[in-house]
Amino acid sequence: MSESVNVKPKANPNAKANPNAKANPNRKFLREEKLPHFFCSGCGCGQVLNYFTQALEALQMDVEKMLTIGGVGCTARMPVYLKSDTFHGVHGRTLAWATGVKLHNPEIPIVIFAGDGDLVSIGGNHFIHAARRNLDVTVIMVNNLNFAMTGGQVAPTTPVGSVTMTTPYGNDEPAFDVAQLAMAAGATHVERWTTSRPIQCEQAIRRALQHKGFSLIEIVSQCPTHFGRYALKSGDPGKLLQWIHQNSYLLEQADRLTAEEKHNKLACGIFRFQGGDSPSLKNLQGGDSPLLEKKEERARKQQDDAAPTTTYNTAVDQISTLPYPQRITLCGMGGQGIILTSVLLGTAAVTLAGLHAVQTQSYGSEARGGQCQAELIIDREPILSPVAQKKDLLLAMFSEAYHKYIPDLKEDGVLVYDTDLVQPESRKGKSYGVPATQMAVGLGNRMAANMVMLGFLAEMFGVISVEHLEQVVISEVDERFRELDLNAVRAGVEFAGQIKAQERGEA
Amino acid sequence: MVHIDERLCKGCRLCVTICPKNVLAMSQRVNKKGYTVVEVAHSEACISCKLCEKTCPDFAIYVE
Repeated sequence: MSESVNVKPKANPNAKANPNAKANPNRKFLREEKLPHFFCSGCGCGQVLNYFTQALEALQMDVEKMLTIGGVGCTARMPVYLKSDTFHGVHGRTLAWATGVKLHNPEIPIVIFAGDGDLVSIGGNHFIHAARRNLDVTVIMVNNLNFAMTGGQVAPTTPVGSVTMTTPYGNDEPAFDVAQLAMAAGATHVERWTTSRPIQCEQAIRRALQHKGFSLIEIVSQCPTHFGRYALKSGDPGKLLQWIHQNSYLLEQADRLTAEEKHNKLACGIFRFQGGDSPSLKNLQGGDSPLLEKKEERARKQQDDAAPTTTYNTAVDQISTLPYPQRITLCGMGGQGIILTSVLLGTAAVTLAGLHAVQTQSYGSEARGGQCQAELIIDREPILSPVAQKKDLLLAMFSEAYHKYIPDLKEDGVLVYDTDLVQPESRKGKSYGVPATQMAVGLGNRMAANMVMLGFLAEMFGVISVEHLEQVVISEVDERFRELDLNAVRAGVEFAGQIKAQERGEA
Repeated sequence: MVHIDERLCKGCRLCVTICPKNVLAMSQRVNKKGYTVVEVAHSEACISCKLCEKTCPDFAIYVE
């Protein structure tokens, strides 16, 4: 900073604009048609944009192959002016999008421009977890010490005692030290600078762009329009730049300064810079992580196990006794495996029988014991709505759930219930009682009752063929329960066979 | 040689503040956006440190 700033150089009253003035070559990184940008006169965001283009120029990076992300706020407008791919969305979620993009394409360089409000107030949780994961992104946080775009409200970064729009008697709460927060969360590259240090800012951004892993560059900036006018009683950017410069000190000087001199001032410098290829999501995408080997081993095992162990004579193209579309509700108690049952039915219908299926589910907040229901529609045609007002088949495995969902069953729809757990009222349509829980207890584990029901549904109504059902149980169910579940399915099939024989006898 | 793009200048005076040699000064000209623009008052004093170019928020300065 110049020490002679108070000496005002005098302008020449006869001077004219230079018609041959050359443009700043770093404007090649910007969308020329968008200039001049929307930042206020003397805003630090414009300066940071300038520092960023200087770093791009120094590294000879191709801006068009980068992704820049902005949320909401003044700083978040910066990607708008860059020729990079740009993602601009809701408040505070910049890091969530970056995580998604990185999972899809780990190679793309991502730079996030976020203000203090966007990053550590609204998006605070995303911030600490991205730092913890060491997500390979560069976060450039312009800290203007308040919520500027909305009118200068107090932010978590506002220094104690500062007057803002919403703290007319001064801010009473301590401010976040964002650099320390990032370090505590595990970020591998953390630096803080001020807009009054152009060279250091440019070098910091350069380091961040080359760093593999999470980089946070916090740049404390002046806000002449809001923070300056409210807290410092001046809208002169030059004065504010000096104020920021005087209210910060370099980490190298920290030892030489007394606690009093450092009081309420921000430390600037490189807080942490771990070189090398730090672990991040990249390891799960194609690195040499031991987790990947486990994943591959499991996939191999599943492939080996997928061969069917027994074959039934049931025809694969067995025609269902229920008309299409089949609108089915499965309901019961949380923990009975109602949702798994519906998922298995739907999976078999889609992947093995070549049908279309839609499944939705709802359940109480209780992990066990609450009501639970799954709706399933199976059709030969693509299904346009996941909602069916009236159902063709209701499977009830719990009394309370039965009473809740029986009104949705068509009058002539089919009811299947567990004889031990549900006492149905007399009705017009057909009802089938299956002692599923009892049969499962006989097989050794009452949790297999849902599999008995599956076997019954497959054999009795041909919702899916028994062969497909066996295949899907083998491929989808955890290895530990495979034998038990297959036995339960066979028990259900057998029971359905008996009922069918009875029906034939009566007819 | 300091070039100033008066179309982009917003007259924030950051360059005037940061220049160690007082090369720049506020002119009396107003651009289309209504900002009083900066101008080169003492080009002979310039040491080409580029601090003004680096610090300008509006990409309005280029030091050749």
